[in-house]
Amino acid sequence: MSVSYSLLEQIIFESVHYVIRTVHSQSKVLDPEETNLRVKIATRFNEKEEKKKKEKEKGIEKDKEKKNENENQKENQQETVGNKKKDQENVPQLEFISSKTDIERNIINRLEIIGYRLGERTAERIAKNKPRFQEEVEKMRFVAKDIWTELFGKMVNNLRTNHQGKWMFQDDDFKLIRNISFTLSEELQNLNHQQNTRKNQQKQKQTTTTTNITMTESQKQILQSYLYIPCGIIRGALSAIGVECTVTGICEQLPACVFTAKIINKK
Amino acid sequence: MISTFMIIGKDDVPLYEASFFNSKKQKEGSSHLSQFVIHAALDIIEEKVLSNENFFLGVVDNFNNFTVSAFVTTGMVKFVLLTENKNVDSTKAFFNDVYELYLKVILNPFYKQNSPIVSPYFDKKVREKFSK
Repeated sequence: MSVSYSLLEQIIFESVHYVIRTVHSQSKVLDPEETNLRVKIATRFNEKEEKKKKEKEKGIEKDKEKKNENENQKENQQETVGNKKKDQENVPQLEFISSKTDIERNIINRLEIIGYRLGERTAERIAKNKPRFQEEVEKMRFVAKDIWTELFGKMVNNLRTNHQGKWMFQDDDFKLIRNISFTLSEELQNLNHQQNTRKNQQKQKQTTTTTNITMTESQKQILQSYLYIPCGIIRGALSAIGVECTVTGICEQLPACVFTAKIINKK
Repeated sequence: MISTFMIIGKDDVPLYEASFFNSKKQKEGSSHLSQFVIHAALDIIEEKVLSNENFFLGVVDNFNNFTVSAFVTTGMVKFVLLTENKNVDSTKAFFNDVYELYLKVILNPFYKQNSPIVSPYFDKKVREKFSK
C-alpha cells in the first residue's frame, strides 16, 4: 500500500488542518463579556477541577500543579474580595483550568458530524453485497475490517471488548496521523528526531519494530483534534448498522491510536 | 387499491412514495388504503428481518388479492411494494434496481440520510423500472 494520498484526501486533510489551526488561534482571543462569565463559572468549579487534576496527574507534574494551585488560591482570595480589575488579569491563568471554549466545542462537533455522515454513507454503500448482521460482534467486525480497508487501506490491528458494551479499535499505524511531525517552537518540544518518512516506515516494517514517539501533553491535545473525524466515522457507520454509541479517540504514541466505542442501551 | 411502492427509513419514517395507476377506473381515494396496508405490514417485516439474513424478504403479507413484498437493507431501510401480480422474480429485480438508485441518492453529499427523497430524477427512474 503506497503512502501517497490521493488528491481528494490531500484536500480534505488540508482543510481539516486549517480548521484546527483556526481553532487554536481563536481560543486565545477572548471577548470581554465571555471572559467575565467564564470567570464566574470557573471560580465555582475551580476547586472541583483541581481535585480531578490531582487524581489524574499524580506522579508526573507535581511541581507545576502546586504552582497552579497557589495561583488559584490567590485568585480565589482576590475574587472573594471583589476586585473587578484583578478578575480580568486572572483570566489568562484561568484558561489553563477551563477545559474547552465554546468555539472549540462547536468546531469539534462539526468535525464529528462530518465523520458521522461519511461513516453512514460508506457503511450503507459497502454493506451492499453482504448479508445483514445479526450479532453485535459481526457489526463491530464489519466496521473494523471492511470500513477501515475501504477508507484507510488496512484493517484495524486489534479489536477488544469488555463484554459490557465497550469496544476498542486499536490501529497501530493510523493513516491520517502517520505523517504528522511537530515543529520547533517555544511552546512545543521537538521530540520527533526520527521523522516518519517513507524509508523509516519501510525499515520499520522490515525490522517489525515500530519506533513510536512519545509526546508532551500539549502535543497530545493538538493531535486530539485530528481524531474527531475518525471518531465520527465509526459512530456513523455503527449507527447506520443499528448500533447507537459514543466514540472517543486517544493517541498515546504517534502512529498508534485507540478508538473506544461505548454502546448506548435504550431500555 | 393501487400498486404502490414506498421507501421507509430506519425510524419508520416514510422517505419516498410512488403510486402507479394501471387503469383510469381506479379511484384516487383508495391510495390511502394502499399506504395503510403497507404500514400495517411493517410489523411483520420487522419480525422477518430478525430471522432472515437476505435483503429480499419476499412476499410478506396478503390483502384481498394484493401482495406486499419487502426488501430491507443493512441500514434497516425498507423498500415495500404492493402489487397485484405474484411474480417473485420481477419484484426481486425491481428491488435490486431501486436499491442501486437509492445508493446513488445516498452518495449525494447534500442528501441527509433518513430525510425524504425529493429528487425528480429518482422518481422518474423508479417509475421507468416499475413499468418493466
